[in-house]
Amino acid sequence: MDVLTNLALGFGVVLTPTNLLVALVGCVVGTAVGVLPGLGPTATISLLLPISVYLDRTSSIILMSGIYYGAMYGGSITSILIKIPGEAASVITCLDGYQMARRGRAGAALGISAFGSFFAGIIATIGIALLGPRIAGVALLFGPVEKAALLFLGFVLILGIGEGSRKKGLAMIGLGLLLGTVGVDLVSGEERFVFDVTPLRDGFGIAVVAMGLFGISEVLLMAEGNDDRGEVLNYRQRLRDLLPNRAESIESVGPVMRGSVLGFFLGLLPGGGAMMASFASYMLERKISRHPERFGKGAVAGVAGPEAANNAGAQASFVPLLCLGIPANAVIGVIMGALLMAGVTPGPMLIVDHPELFWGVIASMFVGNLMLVVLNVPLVGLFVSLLRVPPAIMSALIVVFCVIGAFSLNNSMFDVGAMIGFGILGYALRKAKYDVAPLLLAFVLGSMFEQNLRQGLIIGFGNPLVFLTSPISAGFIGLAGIVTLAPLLLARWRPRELSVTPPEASGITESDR
Amino acid sequence: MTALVGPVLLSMAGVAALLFAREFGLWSFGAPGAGLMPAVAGTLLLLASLTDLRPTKGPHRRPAFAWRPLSYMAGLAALVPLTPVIGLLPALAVLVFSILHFIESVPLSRAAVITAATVTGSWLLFERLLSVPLPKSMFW
Repeated sequence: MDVLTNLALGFGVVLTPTNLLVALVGCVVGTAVGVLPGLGPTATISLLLPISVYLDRTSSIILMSGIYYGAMYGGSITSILIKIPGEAASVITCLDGYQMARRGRAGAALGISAFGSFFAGIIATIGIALLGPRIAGVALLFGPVEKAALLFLGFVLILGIGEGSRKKGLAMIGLGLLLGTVGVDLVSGEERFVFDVTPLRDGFGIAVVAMGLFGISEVLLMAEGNDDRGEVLNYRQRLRDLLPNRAESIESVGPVMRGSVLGFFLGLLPGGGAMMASFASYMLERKISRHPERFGKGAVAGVAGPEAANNAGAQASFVPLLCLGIPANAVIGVIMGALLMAGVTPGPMLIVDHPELFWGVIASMFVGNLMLVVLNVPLVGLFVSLLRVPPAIMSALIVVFCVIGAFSLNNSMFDVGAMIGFGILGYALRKAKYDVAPLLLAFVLGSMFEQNLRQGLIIGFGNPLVFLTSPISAGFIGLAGIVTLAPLLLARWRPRELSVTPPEASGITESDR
Repeated sequence: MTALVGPVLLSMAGVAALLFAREFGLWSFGAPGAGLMPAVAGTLLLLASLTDLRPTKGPHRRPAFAWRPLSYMAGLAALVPLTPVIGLLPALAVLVFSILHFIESVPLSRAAVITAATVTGSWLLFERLLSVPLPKSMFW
């Protein structure tokens, strides 16, 4: 009953003209960036951080969450029609979605993807509404010792989301933590890495780091000219042609339901989220299918399951942020930055201190998913036409937006210079096969981790064993140990069995199209 | 050889962080000091980068010279000193036009139109709508 009352509060917040407009803009922008290869939701939300300070904080989070799950919808459009995933979580949809399109079922594949995502979004939203307050209630029992251990577990899980090796991911976490220490130490008042540069006393802003690492570095990568946009397959845009036939509808029901539940629970894990959910769903569907040989050749389950899972995972990844204060992935890390800039500390107290924000965001997910399914079915052609915008023009627009956005944060050209510096650093790191997502997450979480670590050590009179004497803390550290060791042990025992590789790695090349 | 540059530079950053951490103090007045976190970060950076130091397998390929990203970087770097002289929006106009026309070979008239539209749109959004006081030239 409480949930219904709270949801009513949330709908009261979201069903205002301003927030409905903000949700619509978020969904449209999200679908557009999902369609465009390269420019992902992390970069887009980073670019919008300076604008978000001009919005009411609930509106800004509704906008950003709309972009995130809108990108999940949009990413599948290019996966199906061009076999190029606009977004990492749609990589797996290329395998069967594109094959369906080649067999003349592009409309059905798009329809299954849109309706599956919609159903998963609703399931995930109900899940968040039911589980979120309970998780936050448990997290209220955490003190500095438990919080430090939880953040430690978060760092271990973050290592799993990196695209590169774990060693490189660990180095990026170290670099992120180091960058987070720049400025005046809030406990001792001592300046760290300031070098008499006054603006550095406040440290680097999250928006400056995020815009540089994701926005400017993306522009520099695009400047290399490796534009991989392909030819769009023909499809009919009539609503009737986007509806799957009876057999396809029946075939997609099970995968959508399984994908929604699996995606939701994987999305809850820090380090989880949409990409892991879509891959896991594909593996599951192939494993339990009576016709596993159809996978990769246009199996309906190969589209329905992963598409449902990635949307459920994307939405569920808000739970660790809103209830524990831990971002599950880089996109959520940037959204956490927006909350911090708005003076809201994400975590278990958020639901108590800012119920309108928590329930407003949840209600916006219901509304946003409805908007997306309405937008995506008839407007597929419009979104696909975005692929005709030359990358050079996009680069110029991103540069202008990043520069003015960075300046507007503190009316400081120092921030512009720092953002350009982070852009060049991000480009160099990405060229050297380092994934910058763990860097950003460690940067965002660093100060919180330091504060709780130091408080925990003070509580334990300097004895680090204090982190093992609290059962909750010991549990988190034990789980971190299992998460670290399990892949190594599994790899030794079952070296090849559980791998699903993205299309590029599985031998599907441009020539296969 | 080029694969070693990243880990070597990051290792050096780790060593520098550890040296600074020592200076800040790991422990002071019976409590963790300001150097604790830089020490943790520096140790992670150093250990992870050192274990990543290994020569690449297979034939060595010299990376192609990426002049376009370097041109972008030069343009972005020039933006900061140029802004106090001519103002932020004119500096951005110069940058956008240079990127479009000289680096991306967009025809002159098209590059000029896109630049004008971008700068005008930015002025309307940020200066007029959001009241961001964009830096003006020292001369006008």
